[in-house]
Amino acid sequence: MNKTFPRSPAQVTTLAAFALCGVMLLVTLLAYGLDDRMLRGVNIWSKPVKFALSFGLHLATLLWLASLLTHEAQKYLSTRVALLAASVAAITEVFYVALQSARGRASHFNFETPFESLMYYGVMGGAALVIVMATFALGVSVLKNPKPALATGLRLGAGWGAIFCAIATLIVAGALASGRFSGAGPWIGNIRTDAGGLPIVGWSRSVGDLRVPHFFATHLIQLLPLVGWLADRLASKTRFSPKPGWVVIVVLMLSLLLVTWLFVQALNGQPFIGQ
Amino acid sequence: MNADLIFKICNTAALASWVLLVAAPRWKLVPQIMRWGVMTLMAVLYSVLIAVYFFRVDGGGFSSLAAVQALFTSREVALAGWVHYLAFDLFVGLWIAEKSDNLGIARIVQAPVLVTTFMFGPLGFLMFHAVLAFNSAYGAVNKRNASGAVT
Repeated sequence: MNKTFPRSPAQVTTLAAFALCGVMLLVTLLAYGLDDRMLRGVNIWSKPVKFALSFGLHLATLLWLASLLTHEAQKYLSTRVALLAASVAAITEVFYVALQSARGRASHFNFETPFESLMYYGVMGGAALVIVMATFALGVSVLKNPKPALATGLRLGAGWGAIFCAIATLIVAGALASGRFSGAGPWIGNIRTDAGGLPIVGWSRSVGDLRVPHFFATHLIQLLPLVGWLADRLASKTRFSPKPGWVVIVVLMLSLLLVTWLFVQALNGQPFIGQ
Repeated sequence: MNADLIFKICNTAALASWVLLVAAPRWKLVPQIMRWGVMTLMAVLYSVLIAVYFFRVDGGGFSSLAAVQALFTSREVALAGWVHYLAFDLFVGLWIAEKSDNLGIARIVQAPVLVTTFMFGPLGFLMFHAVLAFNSAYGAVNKRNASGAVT
């Protein structure tokens, strides 16, 4: 690791929050192995494990996005606030979901007590929104203030990947959280359980599941930089290769089509991979 | 889960650490193994036990003596509580040993303080505070670390 990192106290905080996600991943994985309580037909720790993993990955990605900025831009107030806010929000999500599992209760769609209603719509909804906004802001910043050595494909992939991760997640996860289409849960259809779902992700194999488009929308932030980086490498090695910028744009369009298609598929009550 | 086996393993690990702390030469690796091995593993074990069993205890909690007693009626939560004692006592023991070394307090004086901390944590802590008070009142003659940085 070069000594120019971390460059601001906010980056140190994000690194610490990332480490906390790692600790939570370890603890929840062990709890998964030990606990016999179930929720929605699966081990009660299955959700906190996925949360610790996903939010850890997202924080690492945001930290990496920040490292693509010029040294000055890394110290901008907006950059620091985005990282700090995302870190606090991610830790809130990961800890609350774990706490609810420890208590043997649901975290999302739980309105049984005033505290749980407030935590679901107020705190967890707010935290998710904060992370989406921070992701969007960092994406815009990568496009505006990239460090000089950054190659085109990587810059566009990282910037637009983050921006469209934020937009698409806001739409899809917003639809999921609102309960307008799926009621209290991610499923669209009358078989409302995680039992028998796809391994690890747990998506339903019998009815529509809004977690599918959420997954693909959110991971645009990792997919597009990877595509851009590969396009850069290809362009530097062979003469007759497509321009990295075009590769990123085409893959972005195809990905958004895929997310839309998966969204419609779920809304129609069809499983991602049926039985 | 075999609570008795885990209890035995933790007790043995704690006992071994305390023997090293009281009687062994000051090998550099010992504090590292204690911090990143023994205490960290105990902290992980504690966290998992609490995550899985704490909220299952009827009437358990921290807000009244009866609630705390209720917690200890669960074997798993009692095990977690015991591991908590072991890990935190060891942490205090290591702190006492390192601070004593820096102040130049002889190992023969450290020994009874450490053994008491091992057996009855806060009593040993109290003894060490008496040693510290005495030390600051009469001046540390043998201060090994001129800056006295470790606090």
